[in-house]
Amino acid sequence: MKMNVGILIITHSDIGKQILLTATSVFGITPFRVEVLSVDNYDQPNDVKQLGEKYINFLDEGDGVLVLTDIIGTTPSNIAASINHTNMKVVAGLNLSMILNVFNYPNKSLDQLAKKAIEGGIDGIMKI
Amino acid sequence: MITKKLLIMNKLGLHARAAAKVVSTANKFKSNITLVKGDKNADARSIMKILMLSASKGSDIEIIVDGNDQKDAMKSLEKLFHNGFDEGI
Repeated sequence: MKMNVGILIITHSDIGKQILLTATSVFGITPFRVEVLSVDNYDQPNDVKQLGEKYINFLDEGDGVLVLTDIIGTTPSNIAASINHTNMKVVAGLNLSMILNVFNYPNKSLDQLAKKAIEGGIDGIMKI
Repeated sequence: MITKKLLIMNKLGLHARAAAKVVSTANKFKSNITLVKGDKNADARSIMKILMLSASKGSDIEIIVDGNDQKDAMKSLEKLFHNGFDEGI
């Protein structure tokens, strides 16, 4: 069954935007509906949170929203964790391999995608 | 099951965009498809597993295809490898 999970990326500055652009150029398409929220020093966390909630409501077509954020414990991740939405999963530690692994599986459910995000993120970290 | 050894001929090797093309080619078929390089193997439907093979130009990749449409799948993959993943050689 085709799933329509939305993706919200919340990161410091333009990291999320650049990661999204690169992943899109790798696959030639963006296989999900994606929105990006950049958080800068001058932003008010509450304003960003409200915007995040708007994006999540817009992105959720019934199959939920996967929120990807860069570092646990920081403002982008704290904002993501504070958003109240019944059908969302938040994964921290965003890197390029995480998003490539998510884009690889456009038909998976929200739970499966959260798992793929973590697996991909970890797979990409190794000594070479 | 059919097996074939294919050479990576393009300059950039089996890099991100090339790996994405392998995934989309593999997804057109039902057969199980595995890429093997040395002692590492990768599901051809997983971009990260393919990238983890670190297959640069000149690498030999063994392709193992198993399923009802294995002949067509192998043919498509062979074409993709021989075209240098559409990047020229």
